[in-house]
Amino acid sequence: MKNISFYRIGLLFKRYFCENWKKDVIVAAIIFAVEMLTSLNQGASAISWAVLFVFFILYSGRIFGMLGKPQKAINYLMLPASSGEKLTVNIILSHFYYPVLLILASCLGIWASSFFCYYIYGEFEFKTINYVFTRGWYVYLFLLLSNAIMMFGSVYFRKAAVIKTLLCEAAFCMLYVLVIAVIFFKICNYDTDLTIDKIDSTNLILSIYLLCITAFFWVLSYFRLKETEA
Amino acid sequence: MDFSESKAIYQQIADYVCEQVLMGRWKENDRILSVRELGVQLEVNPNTVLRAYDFLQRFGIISNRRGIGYFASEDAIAKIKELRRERFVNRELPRIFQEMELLGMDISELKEYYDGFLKAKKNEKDN
Amino acid sequence: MIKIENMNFGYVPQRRIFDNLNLSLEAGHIYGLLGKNGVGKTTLLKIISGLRFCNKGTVSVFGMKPEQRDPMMLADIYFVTEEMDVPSVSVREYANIYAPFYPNFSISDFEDYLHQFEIVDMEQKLTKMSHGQKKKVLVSFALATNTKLLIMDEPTNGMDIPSKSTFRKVVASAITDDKAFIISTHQVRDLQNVIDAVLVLDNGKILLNADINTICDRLTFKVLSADEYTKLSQQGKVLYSDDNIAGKVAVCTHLDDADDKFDMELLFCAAISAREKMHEIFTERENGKSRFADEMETKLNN
Repeated sequence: MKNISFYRIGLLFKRYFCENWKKDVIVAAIIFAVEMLTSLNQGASAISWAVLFVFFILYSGRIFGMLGKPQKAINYLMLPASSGEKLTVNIILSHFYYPVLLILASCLGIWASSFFCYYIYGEFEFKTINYVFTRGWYVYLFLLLSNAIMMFGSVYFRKAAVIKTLLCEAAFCMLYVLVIAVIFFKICNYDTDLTIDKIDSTNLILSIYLLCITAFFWVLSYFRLKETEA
Repeated sequence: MDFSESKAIYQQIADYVCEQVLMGRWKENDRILSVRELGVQLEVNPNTVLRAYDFLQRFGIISNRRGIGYFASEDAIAKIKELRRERFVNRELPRIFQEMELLGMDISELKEYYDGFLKAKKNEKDN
Repeated sequence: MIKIENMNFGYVPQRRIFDNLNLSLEAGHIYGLLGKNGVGKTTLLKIISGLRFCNKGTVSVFGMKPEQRDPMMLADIYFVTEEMDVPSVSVREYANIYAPFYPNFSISDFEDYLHQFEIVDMEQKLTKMSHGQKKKVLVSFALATNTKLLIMDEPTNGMDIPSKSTFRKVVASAITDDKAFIISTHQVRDLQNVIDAVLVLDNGKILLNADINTICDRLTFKVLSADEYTKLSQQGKVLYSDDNIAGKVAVCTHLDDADDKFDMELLFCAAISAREKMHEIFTERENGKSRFADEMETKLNN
């Protein structure tokens, strides 16, 4: 860890925010609007999550695009900071900053719609943070995995990186669904009427499983990044 | 500066410096442009200018005062004229003589032209 | 400063681009890297800056291995690529973001170079600029970082005529004894007076690595009449010649009476058409005293 300097990490963050803050604000505003509008109608809630989900993946995947374009890759690799520092910054941005930004925007959207409902229908249903987090947790975990795959894809595939990464991602998506299905059916005994209590134990297993795969991809990516050539 | 002449660049730079001194733009005993300054002005690598300055220094036309810079020598003009004279006699004259021989010209003919040239110049001055 | 020994490289193992390449570069020079298309100029620059890794041999830059991408090494190298990708920020913001990465960056130098390139509006967005404008900004930035090694790949491409002149001025003013610039170019006429050492890359090797004084001591660039040409070529002194309106423009082994203008384009043609002879001229007499020094000595003795 001799090559980690907080000063340079700070500079890398500064570089990111100076170049991207406008885009981030725009994306947050879009998510806010989508969440607000779809939450007005209870039925659209699933769609809203789907939209959020896709947005999450596409937007946070953007950060890995820099290794896809040769010119961007050269600029990035030539930046005077170590691979460890660059990776640290990327992990923090994609695992903490993006989720917090997007989940916050979506929460605000949902709460804003609750507020409107109160105005229009006279009934106020304040969706709690808990509501957002129980649903958000899986989105978040999946996001981590998705990021890890994207990082992996961007450093591993030279040609048609986007397509290959997406294929890779789709494969893991299916695996993910399969695992969930198996766990749910085994543990919950075909009981689809899930309550928070019931899925608590499965929650834990699933979370650990997802985190493990994520970590696996990051480790692979780290070693590859050290060897990446422009 | 346009380096179109068919002569080594450092030679052309040396000529340029001599020209500045002969024209009186750079005075004897005065500090002249540094290697870098002249390099920038002429869009030439400083190392090439350094070679030109070395060359001039060895002929005593300029001198290097440590830590201050290059200066045109006290007798720079005389030295330049001496150098040019030598070059004229050794390089240009043989070429002229060769051409004269080829065309079958006599030295007296050359003298006539030279006298004519001096006369024309004198007239120009008088007018 | 840079030392490459017995280096092999190929994108695919069957097709080697570099085969036992040796190269040693020193500070204080502006190197011109010349070579035909596809000979691997950009690849060599990438290997030096740690963007590509050689298959065999050793590469050392400031005593470090470039593939380790040590931040200390990266802070002393700047690479201006031929194509550029700029963020959507203003010139001033660009300097604010990237300058702190380079400890020797000088903002006054940056402003001075931009001024010379006639880029006055620091608030202008880089993404809104033309290719030539962007290049001017990046070249100015690169020179202002004051890194020990500055690599420029075709820097004058896309620059207009006055900017090329400015480019020569700023490069001549920025070079110091502790820096080295490597400029890869096909536009030798633009740059031949600011370059003071030539690298010719050919056939997977460095065919020529010599400073211009040495080249001028060992070769003569001259326009020859038909008679002179036949005489010299019979003596085996003509390395390369090309027909021209004035006669034959030729590169010969050094002739005593001549002190003619160096021509990089001719040198390059001579180098790739008379490889062996070139090699002979520039290696066997390595320890011989230069003619320039000789001449000075006799002058002083008289």
